[in-house]
Amino acid sequence: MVIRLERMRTSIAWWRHVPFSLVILLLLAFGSLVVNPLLKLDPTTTNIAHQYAEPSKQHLLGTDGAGRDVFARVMAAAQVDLGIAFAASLASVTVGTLLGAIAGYAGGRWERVLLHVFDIWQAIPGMLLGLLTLAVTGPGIVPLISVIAVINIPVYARMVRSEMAPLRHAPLVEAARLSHVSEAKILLVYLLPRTLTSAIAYLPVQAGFSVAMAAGFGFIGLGVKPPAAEWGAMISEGIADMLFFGAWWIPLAPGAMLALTVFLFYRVGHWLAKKVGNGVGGAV
Amino acid sequence: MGAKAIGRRIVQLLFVTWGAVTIVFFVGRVLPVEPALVHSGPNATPEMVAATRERLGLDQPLAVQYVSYLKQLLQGDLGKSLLTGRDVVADLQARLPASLELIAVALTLAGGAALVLAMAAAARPNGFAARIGNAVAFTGTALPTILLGVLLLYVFYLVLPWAPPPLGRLGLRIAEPPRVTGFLLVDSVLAGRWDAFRSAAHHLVLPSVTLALSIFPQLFRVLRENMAASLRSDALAAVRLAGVKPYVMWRHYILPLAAGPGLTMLAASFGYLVGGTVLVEHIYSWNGIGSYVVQAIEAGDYNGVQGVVLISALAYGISFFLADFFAMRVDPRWGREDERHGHTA
Repeated sequence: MVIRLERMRTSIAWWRHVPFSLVILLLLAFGSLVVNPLLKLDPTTTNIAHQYAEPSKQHLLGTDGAGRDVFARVMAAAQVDLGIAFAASLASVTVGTLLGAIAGYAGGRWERVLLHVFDIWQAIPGMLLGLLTLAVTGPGIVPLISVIAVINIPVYARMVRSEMAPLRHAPLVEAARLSHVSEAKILLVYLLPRTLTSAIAYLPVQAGFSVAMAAGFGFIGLGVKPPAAEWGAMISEGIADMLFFGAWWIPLAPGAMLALTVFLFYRVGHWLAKKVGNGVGGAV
Repeated sequence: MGAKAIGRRIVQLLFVTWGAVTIVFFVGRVLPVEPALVHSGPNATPEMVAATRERLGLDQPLAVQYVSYLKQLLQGDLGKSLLTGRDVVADLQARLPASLELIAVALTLAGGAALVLAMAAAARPNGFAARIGNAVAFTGTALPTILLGVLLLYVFYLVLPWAPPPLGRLGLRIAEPPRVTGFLLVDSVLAGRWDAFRSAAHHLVLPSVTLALSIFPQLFRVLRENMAASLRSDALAAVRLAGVKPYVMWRHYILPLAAGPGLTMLAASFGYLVGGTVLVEHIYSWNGIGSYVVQAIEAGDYNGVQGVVLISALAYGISFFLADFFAMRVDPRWGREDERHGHTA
């Protein structure tokens, strides 16, 4: 009886298995797009008469030194930070997976050379590699996305390589070669899907890191140009407001959103790692 | 540990350093931005850019430039800083101790706390110390470094006025002790200046705790898992049955096994701190290489930025070398394990 109920739950009420953290995260992403237009809020409208207003019904998270609504700015910033994290994660998982797959499938000298390249790649702390690149390109969203992607590429490359390497001599490969399947097809169609387990499980965690990293670069002035809103830049600009005017909500509201987002990504990653781990554990 | 293993690590260190240098060179030359423009700063006239191109040899082929770049670096020349007009090496000498002091205190705090709490948590998984360790680790994982810094500042400067204002390394009325090492804690002791020592320590608390919290979780988890696994092992059950005292058991059986992973994590944390200090120095107006690199970027000073990046990459490489070195001394299998698997985590 209990078992039957359990089965019904897994087959029909699939939504019960979607974790709370993923729902909140999607709501947040969706909300960042629609909340400001719906409530007719503008993140850049200044109102000097209402500067440093404390959180109230009129201004949910108060206003900043220029009288701009902090809630509207936090939501507008969510678009920027989530967008950067999304684009950077997508780019790094794509390039990293391809590099790792090639290294693992080729084996021999190519594998060794690529592994050394990954070693060196990771020998410069990520933040500094980013600073170096941004020093040349100047600040901006596209350089920021590429920098965060580049920092994360070797992580995925290593993961995929270590799963690809044992498959290189699998009977499946030999069989495919004997039936004249091209090497590219063997690699991309037959083998690649089997090596993505840890990369996929790691993706949300890395997206969370990317949000924190984007905010970190924004914090030191290398993100979006003012008056556009971005969590890190808001925190950085808000420190002085907090210290001199006691306006704690200006840096802490975007800070709390940043922490919440990173935490949610972390939880989703945790859930996904368990799921993927369960599904594939027996197969390999 | 054999000299061969050390030699192999030194070769590895040199190789990785060379790689980092090469990356820095190519980022500066190959990205689709005119390097002469980058090197002459944002306000340069076309004539100045042309002069810079000639002076830096940017009209030469890339290979020639690369060789002369390597030669320059080997002579310890990192070029002139546009930001300060001085040699980058002199700037780094002036600024590095402030950051190193901060990082050293943070590493000591995090490493010491993680070691003690992990030992307690491994021995009693549901004990008080284990709960404290888990709570601190959770805080460090969930809160990004910038929020931690601002939050600590809010609580300990505005709400509870315990901490000094975030304006550098010393109180405004405290004269700096004569510079010997550049580490204020050390210099004030050497000069017998206890007021300066107290002020420097006071100013170090919040920034170093911020950094320490950001690296504590990984250190704590690695140490706890390792020690807990040792405690569960059959080998240790036998040791216990033989009536070995707890002190000897920890000193000779459990801690040496945790040394390798723990030290490797400590070295990795050092790399994270080098980046984290950029953020923390920005919050606390700390006059170290972290704020230097940010100012250098704002001034379009590529030499300054590459100086910081190169010195950090070198320090990061050395920290891994030292971690391996000490781990091999404590646990002779550490180096060989690496050979067998090709790569350690």
